[in-house]
Amino acid sequence: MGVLTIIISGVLVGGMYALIAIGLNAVFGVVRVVNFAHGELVVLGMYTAYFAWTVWSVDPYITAVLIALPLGFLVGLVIQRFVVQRLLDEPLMQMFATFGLLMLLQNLFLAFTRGEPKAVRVAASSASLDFFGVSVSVSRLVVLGAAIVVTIILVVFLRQTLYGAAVRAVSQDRGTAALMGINVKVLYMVAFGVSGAIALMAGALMSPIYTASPALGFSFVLPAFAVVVLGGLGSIGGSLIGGLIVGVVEALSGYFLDPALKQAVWFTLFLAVLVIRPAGLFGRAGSEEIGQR
Amino acid sequence: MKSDPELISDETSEAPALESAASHGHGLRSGKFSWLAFGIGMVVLGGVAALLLNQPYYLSLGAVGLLFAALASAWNIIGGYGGQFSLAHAVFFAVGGYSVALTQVNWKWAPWPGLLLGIVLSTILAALLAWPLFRLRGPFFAIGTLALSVVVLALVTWMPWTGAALGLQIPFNEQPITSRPAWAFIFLGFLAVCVAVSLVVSRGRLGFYLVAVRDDQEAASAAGASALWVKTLGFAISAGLTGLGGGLYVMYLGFLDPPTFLDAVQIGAFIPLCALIGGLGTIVGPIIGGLVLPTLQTYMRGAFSNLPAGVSEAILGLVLILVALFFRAGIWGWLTSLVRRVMSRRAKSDERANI
Repeated sequence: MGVLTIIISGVLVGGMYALIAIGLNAVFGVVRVVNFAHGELVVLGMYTAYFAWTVWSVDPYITAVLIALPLGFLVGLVIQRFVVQRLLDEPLMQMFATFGLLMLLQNLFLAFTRGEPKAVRVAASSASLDFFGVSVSVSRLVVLGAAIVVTIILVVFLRQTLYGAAVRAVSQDRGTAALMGINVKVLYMVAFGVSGAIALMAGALMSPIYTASPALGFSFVLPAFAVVVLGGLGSIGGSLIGGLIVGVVEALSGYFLDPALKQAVWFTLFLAVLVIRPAGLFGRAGSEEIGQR
Repeated sequence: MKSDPELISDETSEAPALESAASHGHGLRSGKFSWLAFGIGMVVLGGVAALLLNQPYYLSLGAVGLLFAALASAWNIIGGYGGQFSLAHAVFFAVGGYSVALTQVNWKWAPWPGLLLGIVLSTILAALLAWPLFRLRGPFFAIGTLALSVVVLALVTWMPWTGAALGLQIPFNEQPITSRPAWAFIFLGFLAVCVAVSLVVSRGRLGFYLVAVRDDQEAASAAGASALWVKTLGFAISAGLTGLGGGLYVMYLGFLDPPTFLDAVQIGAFIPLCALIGGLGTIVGPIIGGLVLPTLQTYMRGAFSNLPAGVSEAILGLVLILVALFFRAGIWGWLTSLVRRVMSRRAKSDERANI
């Protein structure tokens, strides 16, 4: 197995981390809420795709766009409206609440599926392309493509539109932004909605690759946090690159050290970045302090 | 990090509430009173344990409850008073556990020096980790500590000398205490140690500094409390006690496997949950939470055994959300505010009567 193969597989896995992390960053970077339950939303997307596939035999890629996006937006909205909104000035309680949400969703999945793994297997699951002699999984390529497309859309939205400017203003100084006439409450709900939509879509897109199981969400959310911090808080492009870095580092350390250690390697990298440069590689220095107090 | 005034309980509300309950609001400092209450509380808990001696099921429930009450009290020193949401306490719990198990299995040590080693190692480890970790604040500290516990779990499962994924087994004839009732009293003793340390810390300079740093780090630093030093001390003390708990737990179980000691949810998050549900930043709160939560969990697992797996944990998650939303002061905070309300009403009616 050549190094090229390893790097390509790392980039593909990284695309998945990036897509999950971008959704997380929409909330962590803007609303400054640590949503531990984000991974569960991704798993919810996987179950949604499974449900649509078995009951209505809808292709997961159609589900991702037509069902997962609106459903995810709604779920995000509800979480913001009924849980996070009440705890905006309570960072400690936010963490408890979203951790509770993690436990609630994870165990509801367990109760409803009785712990049976749910796999969606369509033609794309096993299809692959030839890329300079390296076989590339089509379904993983789709996830990477989605991460890039979502990044471009969000970056253009944040940079070029008035609403994007409002989002950036709120993420920098909630109080002043509110004084300038921005409806912070609505904006936060939209941010959570977008985050949920991306998460469920990511889950539906990943359903042909991964087998959905209740504990999967927790294994997604930690890398996603690492990616967000690595790339920079509130920096969508940073999340994309951070995701790719984490994916490649994971693949390389899995090959050269020991697959059992790959998590430990990039967590150590993550802790190091957190300590040396808490704003992340692409975040503005000091951005991690904003909204903390 | 800002805290809701309602949430800040101990020095600002709990102690006065206790006083007014005891002495009808004479402005007596509560130092002696809290030690008296501490003594009475421990005797009562011991008495309850003694009453349950012939009920092995309830006694073992109680033993685990006492252990978690102690762990929650230890976590509360840095998590409640200091406001640092550490998810890394599972690491110190495991350090204590491995210190006892490894020295006993490999070098045939008695567990007692192993316990001491566990306290020393977890305290030192916490002090060393404090410098990088406390560069992180608020949610970043929480994520950093969570990442740390995941790294340690991966390392421990990978390294052969820790027994890897299988863990370590202490032969039955090498376990000095195998009588279950004895363990209820040992864990009670451990709880007494944790609560005593909490009392000393919270009634002393360090406790005031911790609360000051929690409520406004900049102001506290400006007033001369070195935030890093204060948090490091609190973290190290809390970790040392947690390490002792881990060592005792290995002796109690007779085996050690990585998930039992290092699970990010079942240990790392569960201990803070106990403190939250009882009442953060108070002496009594974590004791109540630690006694209630594991018992409730075991009870629900039994009661819902005909329902699919996960229902009881899902309920626990829901409880957690509801507590964070509506019940932030926890059980103890709710009780004290209730007492305070009754007292003030009575005081008012007294005044009216005097006029």
